[in-house]
Amino acid sequence: MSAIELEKFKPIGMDIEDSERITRPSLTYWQDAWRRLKMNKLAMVSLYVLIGIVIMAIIGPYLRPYTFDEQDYMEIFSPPSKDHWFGTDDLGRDLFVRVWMGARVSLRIGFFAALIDIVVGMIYGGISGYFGGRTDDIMMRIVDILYGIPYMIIVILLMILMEPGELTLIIAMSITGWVGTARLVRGQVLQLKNQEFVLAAKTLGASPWRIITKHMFPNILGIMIVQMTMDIPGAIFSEAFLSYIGLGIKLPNASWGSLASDGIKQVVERPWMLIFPAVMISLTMLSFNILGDGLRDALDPKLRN
Amino acid sequence: MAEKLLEVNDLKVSFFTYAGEVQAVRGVSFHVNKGETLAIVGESGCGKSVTVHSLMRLIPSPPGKIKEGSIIFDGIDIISLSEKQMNEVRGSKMGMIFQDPMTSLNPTMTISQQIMEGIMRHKDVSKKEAFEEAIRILELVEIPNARKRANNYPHQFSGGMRQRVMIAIAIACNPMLLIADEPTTALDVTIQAQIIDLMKAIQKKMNTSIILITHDLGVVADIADRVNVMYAGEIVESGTLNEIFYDPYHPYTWGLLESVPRLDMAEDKPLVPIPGTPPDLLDPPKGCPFADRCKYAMVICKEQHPEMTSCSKTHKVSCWLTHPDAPKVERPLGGMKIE
Amino acid sequence: MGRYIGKRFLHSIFTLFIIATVTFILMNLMPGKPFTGEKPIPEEIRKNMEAKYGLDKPIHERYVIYMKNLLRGDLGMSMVHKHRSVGSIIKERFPISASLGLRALSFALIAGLFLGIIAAVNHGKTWDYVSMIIAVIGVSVPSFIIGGLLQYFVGVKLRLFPVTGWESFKHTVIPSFALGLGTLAVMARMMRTSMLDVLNQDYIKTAKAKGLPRRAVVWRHGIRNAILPVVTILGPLVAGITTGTFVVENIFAIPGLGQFLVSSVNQNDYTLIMGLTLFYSLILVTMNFIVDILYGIVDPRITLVERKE
Repeated sequence: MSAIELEKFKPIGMDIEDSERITRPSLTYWQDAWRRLKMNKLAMVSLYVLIGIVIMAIIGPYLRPYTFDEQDYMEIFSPPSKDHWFGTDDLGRDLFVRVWMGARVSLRIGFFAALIDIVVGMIYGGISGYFGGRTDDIMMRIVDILYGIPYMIIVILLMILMEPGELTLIIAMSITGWVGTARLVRGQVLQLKNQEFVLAAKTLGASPWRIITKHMFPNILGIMIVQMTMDIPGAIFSEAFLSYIGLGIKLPNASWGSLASDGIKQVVERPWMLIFPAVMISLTMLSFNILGDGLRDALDPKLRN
Repeated sequence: MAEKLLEVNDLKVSFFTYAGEVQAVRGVSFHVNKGETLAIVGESGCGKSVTVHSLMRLIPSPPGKIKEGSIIFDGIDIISLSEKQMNEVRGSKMGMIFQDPMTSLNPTMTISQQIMEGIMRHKDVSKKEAFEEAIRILELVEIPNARKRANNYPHQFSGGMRQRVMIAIAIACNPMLLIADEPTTALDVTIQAQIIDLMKAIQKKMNTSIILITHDLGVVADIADRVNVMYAGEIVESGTLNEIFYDPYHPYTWGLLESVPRLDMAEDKPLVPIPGTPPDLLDPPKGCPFADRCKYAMVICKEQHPEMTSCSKTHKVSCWLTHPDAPKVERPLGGMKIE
Repeated sequence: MGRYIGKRFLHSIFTLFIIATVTFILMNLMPGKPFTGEKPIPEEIRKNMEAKYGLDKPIHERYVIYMKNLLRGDLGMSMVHKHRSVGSIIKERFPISASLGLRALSFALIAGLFLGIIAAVNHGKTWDYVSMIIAVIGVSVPSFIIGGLLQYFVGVKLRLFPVTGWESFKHTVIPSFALGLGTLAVMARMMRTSMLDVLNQDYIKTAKAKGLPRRAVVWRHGIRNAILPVVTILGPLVAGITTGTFVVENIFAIPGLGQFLVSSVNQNDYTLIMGLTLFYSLILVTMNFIVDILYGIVDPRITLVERKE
């Protein structure tokens, strides 16, 4: 340990700034989530697929010189060709146009049903969790009962009761769909309620409305986005199911579900009638599911490292 | 003199994360004698936990990996063992107590089942004998009504009682080495003393060696024979209890001692916290890791890593202040007498 | 435990009561009224029904009659299938649906749990990806599409299995698979998440520190704890399988109860719809009740919490 110059032993004291130098770049919650989502290749591919499907739903029907309900008796059941990219159905309607018109209907139903679920669920769960006590007891008892009622049966009853159509589908699906969201939100609010920053806001005299909207909802937003990516495919799934048992969209309108259920009946002779709508449904569901999983991982504060 | 039970040489453990290699343990060497208690102290994240988990090869892998070094326990090279051979050592020759008794017991198994499991794994006994053995151990760790409570589930026990059960699990097969990873941190102060007393009693009865990890110097003073002070994945000072408490050399040890209240301290003397934060082990400094937070830092501290220097037969320190050319500094804890 | 079961039982009864009441209200709101629909109803049936249900009486009296009939297990007469009571239709057709449902459910549970465990234990390795690809496809493709495709490829092209009917074991293979795949996927994903969570718990470290071999750690300490949250979703999963039978029976021409529900919807057979609705609700509420009790048995903490209340 010899041969060290004496001046090296000159005291320099401590250097706190240097010790507290932050070596990792600082990111906001959303920047960090986005960074981690981008690292998940599969989730990003899903996101692009979904964007592609939405764009096609908007422009797709205009790419071909047919309308969705234009019948051509000379072209019944023709397989995919350069005139009819996805083939035609039993009335000679062009399936390419019908699939993208169906995309509009299916995506609209999925989006609005999920949106209503989230909004109602957040309000209901937020109130129940925030006020607690008696209010919470009664509100959660109601939720328990609704949860015990088979969802699909309620939907079927309502579909019989109301005029068939897109709006009815959305209402029927969201009438019990919000229950899960409400439970989730309540659980989150119960947790947040006792955290210091909420107590601090309360001490400063913030109103319940302000605390719920300004302090709690931003913290629940991540979970809600994940919930939404899971709810949308759920609603598309239900719509396809209802179309299959004859309670969906009425002709000549089409949804992916109704197209696929028409296709099932012809699957042996004319497989293209099933394959195109089936691929669309599956691809959309797949993308939403993978994206939802990716978002959940990206938004989970426990996984930040 | 005393016989060595465990010898660790130049142990290096890293975690490979997305951001790069976090060098959690950076060349640690120490030993434990038969029947003695070694305490490892240091602030959170200094690598004490990782060090003792490596002894039992319980580092989650991936991302963790023992990169270098040797661990010789009772004449066996731990690192070269196969997973199967390692399972023969775990629980029978080494037992471990974890920090949080609330989460360290399986909620869906009864207490006796969890103790019997280890016994039946390592000893050739019938179920009935194992149960009787479990009762005996529960009585040893002073669980009242042991026979009755043996069939209870963990949630029916208080925190202190659960930690007793954890100790029972760890000592079930009469291990030579008991590793306690912050066994009192999650407990009430009144319970802490009971648990430490229990560990001392067991050590006396069974002549077990203990490695105790803690950041509570009160606990250290109560039970340890020797102390390792860890900082940023290294041992910066090691010595007997008296050497570390009354004759410390490393400024970090001074800081630790100054930040705890003590009875022999003048009433108006304030507690002194250690300013700053430990270095990021993703990119550890090339000099002394404590230099940035050290009042006595010199030019060399930032440029070159200090070597381990012996101050006595049992006392070692890694600090440039021990260099003959370094300026003499007055220790803030001068003049304290050994009890 | 006894109190816990009692409480759950009352809860189930109350749920059924609510469902029955809601069904009654909806029935009376039906367009065209249930017994005077557009379709002409044979005179004798109409008379019978009017006497039985007191159709000219005010609504609250009709409600009492309806509830009394329900308690006796009388779900009324079908409006389309002459001379047949809803009860007799259920008695005849339900065993077939139940057999299909149970086959699908056991296939989904066993394979789903297995895939989930395999994936978690091999986290980040090939088997994890294989299991999760199967699971993601399972939740992404509706059962009627799977059914249709299997019918086409496995049945018609490869001729491995018969594609319609319900006669021998061979007939049950494709429908059970099509029906169970979605549930299998949900199971596998849930089990994987839960298992990964459990494997990170402190008590797993305790078990490893005892020197237990990996197999014992995973089976004895991992799976039982990981299965707990999975048990809670069994209720909704059974509901999913049940509604799935509506579609799968239709595709494969299986003469079960689900087919009747679909045809009753298309034929506006209101009494049959109502009767089947109540019957399915009864099954699902019963299943939820069983699941609750099961949960109480697997998790020793549940019953204790209830006792403290």
